[in-house]
Amino acid sequence: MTPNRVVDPITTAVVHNALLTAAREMRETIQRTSFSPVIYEDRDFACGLLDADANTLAEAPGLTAFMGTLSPGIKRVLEEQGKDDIESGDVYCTSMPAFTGSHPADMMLWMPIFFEGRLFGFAASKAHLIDVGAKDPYPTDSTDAFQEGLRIPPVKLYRAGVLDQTLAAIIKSNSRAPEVIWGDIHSEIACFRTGEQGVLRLLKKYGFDTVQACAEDIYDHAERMARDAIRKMPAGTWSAVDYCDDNGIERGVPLKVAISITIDPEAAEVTFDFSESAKQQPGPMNAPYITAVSCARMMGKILTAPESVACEGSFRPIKVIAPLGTIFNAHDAAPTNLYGWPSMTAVETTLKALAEDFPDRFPAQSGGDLCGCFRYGFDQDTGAMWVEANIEGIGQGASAVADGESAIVHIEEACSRNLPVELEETKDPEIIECYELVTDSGGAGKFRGGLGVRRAYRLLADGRMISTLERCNAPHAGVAGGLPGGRTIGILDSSIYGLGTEFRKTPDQPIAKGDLLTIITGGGGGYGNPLDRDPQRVHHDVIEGLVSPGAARDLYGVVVTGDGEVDLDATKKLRASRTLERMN
Amino acid sequence: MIRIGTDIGGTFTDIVWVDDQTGEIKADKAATTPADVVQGVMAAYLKTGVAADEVGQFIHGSTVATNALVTQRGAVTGLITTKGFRDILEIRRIDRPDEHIYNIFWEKPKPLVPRRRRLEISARMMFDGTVLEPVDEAEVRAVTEKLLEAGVQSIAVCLLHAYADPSHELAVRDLIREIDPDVYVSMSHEVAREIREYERTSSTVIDAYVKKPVVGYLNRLDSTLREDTGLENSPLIANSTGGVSTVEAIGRAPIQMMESGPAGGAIGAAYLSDKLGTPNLVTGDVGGTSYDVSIVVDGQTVLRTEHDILGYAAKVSSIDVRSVGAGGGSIARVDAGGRLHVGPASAGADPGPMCYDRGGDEPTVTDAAVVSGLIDPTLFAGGEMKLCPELATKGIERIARQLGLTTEETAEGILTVARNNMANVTRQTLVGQGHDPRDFALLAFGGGGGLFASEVARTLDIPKVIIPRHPSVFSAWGMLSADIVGSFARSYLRQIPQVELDYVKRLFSEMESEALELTEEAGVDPKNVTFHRSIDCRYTGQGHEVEVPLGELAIDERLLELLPELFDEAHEARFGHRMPSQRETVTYRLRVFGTMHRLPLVEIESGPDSAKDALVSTKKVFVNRAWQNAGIYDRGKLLGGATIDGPALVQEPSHVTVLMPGDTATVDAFGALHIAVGSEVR
Repeated sequence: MTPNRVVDPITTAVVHNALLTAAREMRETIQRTSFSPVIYEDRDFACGLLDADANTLAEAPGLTAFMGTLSPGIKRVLEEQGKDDIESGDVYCTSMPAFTGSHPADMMLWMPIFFEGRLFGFAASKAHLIDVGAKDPYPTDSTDAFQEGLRIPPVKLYRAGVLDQTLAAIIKSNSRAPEVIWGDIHSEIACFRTGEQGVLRLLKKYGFDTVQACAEDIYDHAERMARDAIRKMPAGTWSAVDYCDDNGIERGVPLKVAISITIDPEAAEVTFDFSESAKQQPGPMNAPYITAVSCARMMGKILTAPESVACEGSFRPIKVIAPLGTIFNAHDAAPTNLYGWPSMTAVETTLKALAEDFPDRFPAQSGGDLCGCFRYGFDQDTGAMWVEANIEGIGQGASAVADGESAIVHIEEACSRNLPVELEETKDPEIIECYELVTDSGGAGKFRGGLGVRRAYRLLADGRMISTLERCNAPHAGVAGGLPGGRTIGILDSSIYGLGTEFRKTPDQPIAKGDLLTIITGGGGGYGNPLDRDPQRVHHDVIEGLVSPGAARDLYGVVVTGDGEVDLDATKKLRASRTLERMN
Repeated sequence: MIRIGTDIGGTFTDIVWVDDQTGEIKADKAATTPADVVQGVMAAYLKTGVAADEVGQFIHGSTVATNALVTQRGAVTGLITTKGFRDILEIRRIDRPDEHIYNIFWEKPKPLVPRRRRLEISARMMFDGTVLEPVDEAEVRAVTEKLLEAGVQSIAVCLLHAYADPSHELAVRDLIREIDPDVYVSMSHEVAREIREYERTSSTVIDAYVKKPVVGYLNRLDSTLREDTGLENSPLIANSTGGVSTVEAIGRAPIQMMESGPAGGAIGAAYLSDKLGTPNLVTGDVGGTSYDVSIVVDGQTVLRTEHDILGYAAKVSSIDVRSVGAGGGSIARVDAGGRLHVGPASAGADPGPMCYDRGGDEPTVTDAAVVSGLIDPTLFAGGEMKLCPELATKGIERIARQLGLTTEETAEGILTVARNNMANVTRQTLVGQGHDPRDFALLAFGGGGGLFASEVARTLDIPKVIIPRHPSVFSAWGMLSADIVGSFARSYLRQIPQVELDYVKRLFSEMESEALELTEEAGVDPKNVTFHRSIDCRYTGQGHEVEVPLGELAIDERLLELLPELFDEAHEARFGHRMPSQRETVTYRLRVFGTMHRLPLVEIESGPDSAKDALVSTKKVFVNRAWQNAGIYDRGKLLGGATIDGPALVQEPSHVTVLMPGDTATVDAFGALHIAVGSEVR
């Protein structure tokens, strides 16, 4: 397919790189000016530039799960409100899940960019605001949307450069941390100005029509790359089912996540169908439709063109089906605070469906969770609140050619970081007793899944906890005969709940001084039959303490002797008899 | 006395020498000898013809430390950590790098110490130095024996909270020394005495890993220079912070040599900024594979306290150099969707661009410059290498066919994309730190600096470009202007009202004695020693700190009273706001400067405005989408005060400066070219 040129390829390349630079500068502005560590340390935000129809023009590397939501969210607003009322100097905001594809804490903001009186596009962002007045710091048992924070429909926070004082007062009075969220909102607005300057520089240099033509060229190029990739794929439908632990209310009742991916090389399209997933739930494990779109876009991008930057064209061949009233298209008032977990599980379910037939695109399932657990409390003397909420690394699934990476954050939050032990001990009444890889947590296979981690917190004061642990039930599937990785495990050794009590998703509850809270994160699934793994690799894993000698023998059929060497003869015999057992 | 600076590059080892009395500067180069780079340094030195007894100082920059990491050929290294934390090195911070957010297969760089050589001890300390578990000597001995049995040549020791109190690490070191006095030891509180265990562990491990090759190399260089050639003094080594260190000091903490190469250019820039009366400079160093940017603000190089070396975190001070994969060897290609890309893949020095005629099969930026007429194939690298323009044309034609453009349009297009990539990284560097490019001049150097500078500056609205003398060996020259510089740090995490003044005094006086030992070792007169003190502070709850320089303030009660306001101001300057929160100190820093010789700048002969005596010829160059007549000037013949209007090429051995239509260059009294960047011609 030959490109249909309107502008010359040099100008397009220069304009595209400049737009990407502008998007990255937007990100630097947010990181430099935000008030909350959730944004500048955890990087719980995304930002980018859109065209006048809210197509994704350039995005900054950010929270992977957020990036695909800006465009469909603003498109929906444009559909409902049109463009006539948009003025230069406006800043819009909304916290409604139906538009943001998130919970209310993830507020979306955007600002139009005008040049010589014409609307060129938008600068947009979505960031996690630390508190928007939900019933507790992070509800895991909310039963409707109104318990999860302030609901702001898509309205103007600034109209032609003038702040709406009424709305500002409402936003601030509905937060437990008004200065911080107000600071963060303005950090996002500052980033829009950065993005606007970058775009205006280009518009001045090349003219409105040329830059617009470049945008079309950029989309068409990405679309061509994606569709060319799809045309080379086999036709068919790949389906898989997986389960979240529960919906947060009905504890222990598994929640079905089902995905079908249909590849149509003739139409050069890929469809992600979420229809067979569970109906909308009474607890917060629901996702708005836009979450499903973002999730499909992310997985579609990885399937079609993972090495290039994303833009609207990358997403044109990706279709989404998610019927209203299911967990991937919840009604407007549904509780969605834990929307991210069905979404993460959808990523894992997609891996389960595709990894075997698309080994160069997808590995086996990962540990599948962020393994977050809030601890908070109040200083006895000063009454000051301390709060900590970690996210943790998990094992990545193995692929057809390599072992999975260990202790790495879930792909949905690809840029986020953990909390250093030394900072945490300095800041909070806790001692961390260990932070280490978990031997044997990687799923066995010809290629081994990555390992999860163990982190144990000893409380030095009474406090409270909220846990969002997921994937405590479901094993993380291996592929092509690979075995599952270890599951997520939370353990409390507590004077309140007893020793060795397992916990999963847990609403707000007390914990006592002296309690030990241990979180073990899941490992990745293995790829291929463990009996086919090179004995030298198994040997290496044993020496490194990643696999125990027992597991080497039982799972891999590799005999490691007392002096740490592989007994090749014994291994050969053991593997032969294991293979025979399997065949029988 | 003659002072010599050498800088080892991928292809050439540059050498610059200056006569302190006359100020006369000379430069030359010899082929880099990868198998043993000391040979290339010696060959370069022999080319100078300077007798050993005339050499006052021999300053050297080298990538030996970085190369040990790149090639993964460091020492067999072991790590001793606190019980429960041996995997900190491998867990890292759990994130993926920006460019890999969609890469579900991304793997962390392999830990420099495998898990089997990461051993734990039960000694445990808290953030305030409270000992939860003392050092168990028998356990440390057993762990050490085990590492030595495993063939370990270098041991990194990183215990939790060692930044607060190093006594446990010191006890471990002493026990290791008892067992094996010769094994290399790196302690975290010496390498990076700062809070955050992953970054400190990673830095300590890097240090331990490169120690053996670095010490071996420096000793060999030292003995070769002194014994084989009779040099009186040991060489001084360019460090990452824009200064030089003695061989002994680098040997104690070789991680400080990690960015020795690019540092030279930044040092030179800071030095020149003062001499030229241009306080704000942004540098553009064009090499074969990358474009390196550093900035000088108010005459000072900008440092960072943490960075990434080949994917490994290093919490040590270094010049803030940002790079993008755009240089002379950057490869141009058209992807399956019809889009032109330039870099980051590079043909390097070998096989190099197609016009090198060494088997390179992919067209590069240098090939594009040859086709455009901007590089004279007979004058490349001082005429030491003849280029083959036919091969360059052949490569560019291939791209031209894929794009549907003419050959010369394609060549200019490749240069345009490369220049814009350079401009983008420059803009990000400046804007990311809150600077406006219009307040800066672009100082361009390196083999290809002058080829791109005018257009890069124009893209960024930078009004002026400066091309120093000897631009292709500017980094080596910069080293000659360096001071003895050392950086010291101590973490002390306290809310400001709780800070104990006596403790702070002790921290600074400890650092001062270490600093004085350093300058004394280098033979610096104590009256030429100055200290810069600063405190990294943050609002309680924040995860990042802002460095608050203390200037002339004494360490007393008043400092603690002023600190909150000083920090608020610094925070506002960098991040645009203050916060209604408690403030806390995190890390106390001391930088020492021991002034050595200053580099004289020599005035050149001045002459009339006209540069016609330096005009060699005219030729056609393809710029702004047309073949245009450009004057070719010999830089060696330009006199002070001469002006040249673009389009023109100013040629000198190993370098060409391109003046675009609209540009005007003026030669200053010291021979530097000042280019007033013309407005866009489209």
